[in-house]
Formats: sequence, structure tokens, C-alpha cells
Amino acid sequence: MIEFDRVVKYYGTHRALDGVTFTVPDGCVTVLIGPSGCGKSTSLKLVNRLLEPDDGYVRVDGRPVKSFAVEELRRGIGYVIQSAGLLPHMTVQDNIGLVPRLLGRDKTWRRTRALDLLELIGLDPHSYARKYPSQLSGGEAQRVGVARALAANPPVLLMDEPFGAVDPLNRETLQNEFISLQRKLKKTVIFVTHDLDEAVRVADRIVLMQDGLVIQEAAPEELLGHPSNAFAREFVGTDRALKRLGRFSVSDYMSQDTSRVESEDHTSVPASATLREALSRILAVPSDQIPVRDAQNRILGSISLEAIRRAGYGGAST
Amino acid sequence: MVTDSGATVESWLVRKPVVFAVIIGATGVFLPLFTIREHRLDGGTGLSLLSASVPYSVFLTACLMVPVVISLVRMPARVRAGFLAGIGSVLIVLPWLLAATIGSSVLVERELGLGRVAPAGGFWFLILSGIILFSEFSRAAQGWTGTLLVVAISLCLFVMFWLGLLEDIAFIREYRVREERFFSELIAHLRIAAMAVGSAVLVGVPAGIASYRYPVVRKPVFSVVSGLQTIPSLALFGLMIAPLAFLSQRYPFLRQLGIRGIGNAPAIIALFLYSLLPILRNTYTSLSVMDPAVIEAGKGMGMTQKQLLFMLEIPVALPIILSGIRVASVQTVGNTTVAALIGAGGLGNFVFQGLGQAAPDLIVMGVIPIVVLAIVIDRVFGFFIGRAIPGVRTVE
Repeated sequence: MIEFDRVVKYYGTHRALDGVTFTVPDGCVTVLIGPSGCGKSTSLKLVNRLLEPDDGYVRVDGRPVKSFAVEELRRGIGYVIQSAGLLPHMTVQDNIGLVPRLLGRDKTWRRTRALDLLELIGLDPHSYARKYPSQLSGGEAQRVGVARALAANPPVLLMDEPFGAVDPLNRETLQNEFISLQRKLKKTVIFVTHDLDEAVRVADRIVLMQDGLVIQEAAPEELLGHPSNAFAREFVGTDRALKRLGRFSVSDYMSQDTSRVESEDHTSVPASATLREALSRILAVPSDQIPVRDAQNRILGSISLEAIRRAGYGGAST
Repeated sequence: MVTDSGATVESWLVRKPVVFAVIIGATGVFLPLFTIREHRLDGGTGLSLLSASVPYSVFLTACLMVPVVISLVRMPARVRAGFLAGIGSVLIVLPWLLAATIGSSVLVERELGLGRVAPAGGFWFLILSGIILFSEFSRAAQGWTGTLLVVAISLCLFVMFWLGLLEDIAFIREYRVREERFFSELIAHLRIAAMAVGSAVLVGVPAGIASYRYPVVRKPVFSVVSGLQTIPSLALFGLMIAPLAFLSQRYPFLRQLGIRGIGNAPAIIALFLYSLLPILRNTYTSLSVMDPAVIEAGKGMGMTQKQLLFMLEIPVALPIILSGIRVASVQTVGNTTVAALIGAGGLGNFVFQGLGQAAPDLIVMGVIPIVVLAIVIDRVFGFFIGRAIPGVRTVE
């Protein structure tokens, strides 16, 4: 668990953080979000002590970060930044093995680890291991950046707008890959972004910040359903109900009843999709419901406008 | 549309150096190719190619027409570049062959047993036009073409020299008289330059790193070093004499180390001061233009200050630091020539002797190896900068 306890940070006379308090629970993704200059990146850098607070405490597992030797602390925390920051003179494999190298791991271990991680992030180990960063696309470099952060198997991962420099299409792929990776690895992640859609997609919890203050600390559904003040309402936008539907899965709201589904219906929705997608598809057909199909294209049931409305209104999911 | 304009741009880029080279080469055909001298102080008489040998003139003109034709004919770019670089190589070798044949036969005709063939404007213009073609197109020819041509040129010249075909050329005559001294001066030249650049690396690189790490240091370091660069080299050599003479008078152990007002010590010190600026500036710049994300990543992964410097900053900066050392080396090999004036050794001795004796052939004999040295050093650095750090894109 990572705790921020009344943290204050000045840049010159500007108060960048004005008594920030929030907690980051173990094993889930906490997104720090807010407009630029709200202090989200500053908060992140306080955790691995790239910045030091002027007042208050940042604690990791109850222990103030100040009490760690700074290099040791950093080697125990994975760090992913926006432009990947791969070292240009090292191969992909050596980049991934960098923290293990700093920790004194031998060459064979580092190589095996690098190949495993490349496999994990979906890049062919044998064609990528010996490439140089200049030979990678933006998305590939970002994946390698994530692999590098995971190399020493740290329990905590700090991600500073990790997908911010990637084009929208690739960004969504990377987000989905990250979500499925996180399901396997269960790291404690602090994820900074200014993109609300991204936050809603990846977050277990969202900390909304403005002008160095925490405005709301909540699950995404809660933030979208009940923004706590005018700023939060404005930030989540007028389509917050739609965004909120993006948090719910069709499989949780569909009905098993296939009797009313006509088999020649062309429009259907996969069970793994979100209610937001289901709604969008229903709005495109004259009927009030569409079939739900599984990955093998078999009809599992149907999802109705009524069910979506209930979910959106805040009705309990099953 | 796109391919059309692309082709126009490409052909213009191909033609410009070709036109340039051909004009220079054609001028060379008309200028006197050699000066035939009775003895080394003789003013001599010019000998142009047209008056000496019609077949050779025709051949040369043909050689100069080929690049024009090639640049107009459609063919793959690298094949064209290969041809043009090849013609360039022929133009570099040909004048020497002309000296060995036409020049020598003229000496025999005129019964000038002790006479000499001094290369004149035409000779150098032809070589220059060859060099233009070669250096423009050898890289575009890709693969090993450039390297093979360099080997071929060197081999041709060496074989001609070794067979004694070039003995009548004036500066080869001068060289033959001083063969032993030539090599000792060549080595002295290299030693002076290497010691100056070597110590400039030892001082300049750390000073550059310090200027980057501690902004307080930057201003004073840079103003002193750039100030030094504004002093004319001759003046700097002169300025060294008085203080060093005083010091060696005062402290005999310095004299035992070979430090006196004149000689190698002041030369090396002055050349060292000159080499500092390019090395210091490139070291500082290479570090300060580094992608901040890379440094942040290094820090964030838990590198210590020392690891950051040696595992990250210096390796990433290396190509730019090396190009600073390259500039300093080339510049110092040239400036070492002037050091001969204050009693240091080196090839400059021949140049200034030649000036003193009004013997231009001797000057040329001193200058040619200096130019060759500078080119070789430049190329060697280029080779290493291009290959040392595979991941980093560099300007060769």
C-alpha cells in the first residue's frame, strides 16, 4: 500500500501540491487524473523520490520513502515514462536487463528474463532482443518500456502517461494489453493520465486532482455516477453516463433468453464488450435488443435497452 | 508527380558536382600541366598537355566527357555513382602517369639530366576534379566500391613510386635527398600532434562534463577556452617563448624534462590550448542536448550518479565527443606545421626551409604528407564514429 499523507510540494513559490492525501491499495490500478498542472505527475515522482516533498509523508507499506536509500528504493519500483526513455546505445535485451544488472544479476539470468518478458508483452523475443531502440516503432518502444519496468519483478509500478505519445489506435491496443497483463500480474500501479477514457478503461480507482488538491478519490463508476463537486462534474463531462457504461460488461447484464432473438439479425455484440458498445449498436437498429454472441460467434442470449438503462441508472448488477 | 519532382531533384544533385568537376578538369587540360625546371631554383617553363601529347589530350577530354554522358543517361543511382567515382579515381591517378611519361620524355628530349618535372596548375586541377567526383559519389555507390577504389588508387600510386616512375617529379627529387629526415620529421609531427590532442582530451572531456554538471563552472571555462581560440596561432607560439624560457631558467628540473622557451614544449602547449575548444564544446553540447527522458529513465531505474555518467551519459554522448576530437585532430595536424617556426620538429621544417630557400618543390614535399595525414585521420575517425555506437544515429 502506498499512502500520501498531507503532502506539500513547492516549485519556487508555486504550491504544486497543497496537502495531498490519498491511498493506493495493493494489487490494483490507481489512476491520478486531472488537467495539466494539477500535480499528478509531481505526486508520482514523489514515490520514487525523483522529487522530495516539502512537507508531509509518502509511505510505502507504512515506511516513509525517505527512510530508503534512494537508489535501492528506485530499483524496487518499476518506472514507465511517456516517451519510453529507452537507452539508445543498448539493445532491447540490455535495456530490459538494466535494473537486474544494477541489482547484480548475471548475464544469463538477464537474457532469459528479457526473452520471457518480450514474450509476455507480445513481441517476438528472437527478432526483437537484439534490436536497438531506434529500430522500434513508438508502440513497440512503449511495450519494451513496460517490460523494462517489470524486469526486476517489482511489486509497485509507476506509469507516467505511459501511452501518451502513441497514436490513438495503438493506444487502445496498448491499454487492452496492459489490462490483461495486470490481471495476471496484480501489481500495485499508480498510473498518471489526463485522458478520462483511458482512466475509465484501466482504473480500479481514480484520484481526481485539481490545483494540487485531491477533489475526489473513488472507483470509476462512482466518480462518473456521482462527481463530488462542480469541477468534477465538468471534468467527467456531460457524457459521463455513457462513459460509465464503458465500465460494465455485456456478459453481466445480458439475458439468457434467446427466444425473442431472430437468427437473421446482422447486428450483434460480443459478450466481452461493454454496455457502451452494446448501446451504440442497439441505437443503430429498429429493435430494442440485439443478440449477444461469444468468441465462436454462437448466440448466447440478448441484451436489451432496458437492461442497459437499469445499469446506467445505477441499478445493481447481478 | 512526386516521382517526377524527385527525379528532377536527384538529377540536379547528381549534375551539379559533375558540372563543377568537368569545368575544373577542362581548365586543367588547358593550363600548363608541368613546369620543367633545369634545377631546383630555376623558374622553369610551362608544359601544357595540348602542346605535349595530342593522344593524351584526346583521352583526357574523353574522360571528362564520360561523367557528362553518364549523368544524362538513365540508370540505377548506385551504378551511376559507381561509374562517376571510378572516373574520379582515373582523374586522380592519370596526372601522375602523365608526369612519368610525358614529363620524363621531355626531360630526355631537352637533355636535362638533372632537370625536374614540377607539377603545375593543370596537374592539380585534374586531381581536384577527380577528388570532387570521387568524394561526391563514392558513398552513394554503396557497398565496398569506395573502399576498393581507394585501395586501387593507393596501389597504383605506390607501384608507380616503387618502380621509380615518379623519380623525375620535383618534390620526389626533394624527398629522395632527405629520405631519412623525412621519416623522422613525420614521426615528430605525429608525436607533437598526438601529445597535444591527447592532453586536450584528458582536460577537455572532464572540463566539458564539469561544465554540464555544474553550471557555475561553465561560463569561466568557456570564456577562457574560446578566448584562447581567438589568438592567432603564430602569436600563441610566440607568447609561449618568454614564460617558458623564464621557467626553465628558474627551475632546472624543467629544463631536464626538455621544457625550454623554444622546441617541442611550447609547441605542444600551444596546440593543446587550441585543441581544447572543439573537444570541450562538443562534450558539453553532447551532454546538454541529451533527451531528458533518457536521463529520467536512468535515474528512475535507480542508477547512481556515477552509473548515470558512465553507463548512460558518456556512451550516448560518445559520437559527438568523438567528432570534437576529430575536428581537434585534423586542425592540430595542420597547425603543427607552424610549430616548426619555434624550433619544434615536424613536416613544417620542410615547408619553412622551402620558403627560406625559395624552393617551391620543397614546400610541396612538406605540404603533401600533411594534407594526406589530415584526410586519413578524418576518415579513420569517421569510420569509428559511424560504427562504434550502432544504436545512435550519427552524422558521418
